[in-house]
Amino acid sequence: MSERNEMPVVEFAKVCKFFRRHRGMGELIPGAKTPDHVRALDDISFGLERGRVLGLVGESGSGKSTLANVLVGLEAPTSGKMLFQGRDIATFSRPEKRSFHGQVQMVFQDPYASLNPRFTIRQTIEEPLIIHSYRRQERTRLVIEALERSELRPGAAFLDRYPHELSGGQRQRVAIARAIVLGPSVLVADEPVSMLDVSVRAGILRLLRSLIDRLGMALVFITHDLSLIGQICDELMILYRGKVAEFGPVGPILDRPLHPYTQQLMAAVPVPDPRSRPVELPAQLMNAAGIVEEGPRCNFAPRCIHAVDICRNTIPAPRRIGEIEVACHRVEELEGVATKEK
Amino acid sequence: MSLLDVHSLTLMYRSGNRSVQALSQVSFSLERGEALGVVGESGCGKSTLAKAILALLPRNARVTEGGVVLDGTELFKANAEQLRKLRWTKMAYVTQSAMDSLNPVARILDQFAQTARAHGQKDIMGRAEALMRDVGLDAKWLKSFPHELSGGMRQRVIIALALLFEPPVLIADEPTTGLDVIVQRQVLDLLRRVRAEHGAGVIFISHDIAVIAELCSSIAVMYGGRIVEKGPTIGVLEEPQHPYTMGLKQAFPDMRDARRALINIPGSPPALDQPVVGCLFAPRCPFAQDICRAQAPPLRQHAGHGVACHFAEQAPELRVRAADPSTWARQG
Repeated sequence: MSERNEMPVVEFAKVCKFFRRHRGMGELIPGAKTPDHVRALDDISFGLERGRVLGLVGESGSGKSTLANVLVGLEAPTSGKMLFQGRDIATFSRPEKRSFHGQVQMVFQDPYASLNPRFTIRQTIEEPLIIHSYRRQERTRLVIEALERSELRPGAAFLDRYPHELSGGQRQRVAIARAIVLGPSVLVADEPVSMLDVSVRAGILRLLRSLIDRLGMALVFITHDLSLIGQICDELMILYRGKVAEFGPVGPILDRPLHPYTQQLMAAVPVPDPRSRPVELPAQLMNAAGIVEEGPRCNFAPRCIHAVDICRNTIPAPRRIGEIEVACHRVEELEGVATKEK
Repeated sequence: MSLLDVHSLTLMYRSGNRSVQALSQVSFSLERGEALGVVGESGCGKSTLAKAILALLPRNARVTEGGVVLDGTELFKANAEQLRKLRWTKMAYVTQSAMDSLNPVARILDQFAQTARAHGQKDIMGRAEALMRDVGLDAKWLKSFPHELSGGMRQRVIIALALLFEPPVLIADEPTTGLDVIVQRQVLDLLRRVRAEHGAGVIFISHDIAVIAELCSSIAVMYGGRIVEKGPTIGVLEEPQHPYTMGLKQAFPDMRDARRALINIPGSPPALDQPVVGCLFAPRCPFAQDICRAQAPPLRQHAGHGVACHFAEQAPELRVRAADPSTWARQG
């Protein structure tokens, strides 16, 4: 579908985003040592081309929402650059910024909360067009077109309805119509099916995939449900505490995850088979969940059953195995693979 | 007699001049140590069923037929004081959102104490500590406020609270929804252990077939306020006889075959505010015939489990057709 050698529409170049930690009363306790900053994103680099879908997976606190916020321009990186169509967004003029905001759109998790209950469907989808100064006749045409592209047909029949008259799946289609009405080049979808019934999820995923293919957009699909990744994504990035643990084409990673964290994440997913025995996860993985240790080390080391000294005193440099990038000191030894420095 | 017996439960909600038939002829029983999974889409009556068993129905609900018998007590005939005594001691509820169901301004220990006091018990420090350890939490967290705990820890506190009086019946409504996979795994392991060690009868309400497959010995599939299929988990999930169950199974992802095409069940669930002729699933069923639109199929026993479908005898052939995504590819 897509040509692999075209220029990425969005690109992260060594993006970091740190937040000052609010320390409260803890600061008054002598000897209490908590790090000053939360490293929400720590040296993230990737490029995403049109027609491609990147799956972003990680638990809460992994930085996936911060990454989305930087991508849509809600947060500026602490260091590093985010490029849109080859240019650093920090250098954009006001009108350029405005156009950028129209070019990168979001679909949120909960269509029961993300649509204004007092707005008709027309008002909901028309709003971005008004903000971007489209003329009235054109607006109606574009709203209907967006509805029909989102498989709400005939689009005109939905214009004067309210969200409460629609099912969850239809509401999420309205949210998608609103996101595509300006003809953006990048969509960011944050858990777009987790609030929907199982019976309609596949339809929403297929719709997103076909919009990406037909309209030549790029999609960042954020989820904590690994079992959906294979349905829609081309590439997969596993984040752990602000760092990339594993990144590469989705097929090889699902077939053979290399990073110990990816392996544990995949093993934890329940399978719909009453005969399969649930996998016992190591106690260390569960119990050390809240532990954050500063300093040069692998962030995952406190929870990793394979951790040795080097994991606790050296940041693992990302290395390449074929098309996959993995940040683990011991991957060669544990997985019996040959790697190259990235 | 069973520990919990739900018989022909039929229930309406009234709002203005509209009435919604939320449950129709729901019957099942639960024994000690048994785990029953209840699956279905939103609006199928799962949560209403939970509220009925807990006798926590809103005022506009009216039971028109049947009832719930818990350990010999007919719940809908009991008075408020009798019900108050039954809650927590005979049945407890593990809610969906651990965030909202703990009191944000009370320390964890106080939440144990308040519950205990309501049932005339005072010194529960030792018991609370034991329960916290039981759910894998350090007893030091008893002194904390809910906001100091992570989502998974809060969910475990809720489970510990529910176990305070070792109730024989535990109802868990989407206990792992919204949790990260590793935390979810932890809560699932805990619930499995609770069932084994405390011997409670557990009802798991979930839309997640994988969670049910892992935890439950039997399963009830609900659609439009009715049980459409019911039986041992292995039988129902491996050889579903109702087309709705077949559809759910095909719509659900499986990590072990992550790129299998998932289906969408076309259409949406019935509104339930109009009397329906025929099978409620017929408008969405790819196999529906004239009889399905004319006559409601009763829940009957066939091939080892209960099913409400006119064509249960043809299930083996329908399963083959249901596995083909094109069978379900009408409209979106």
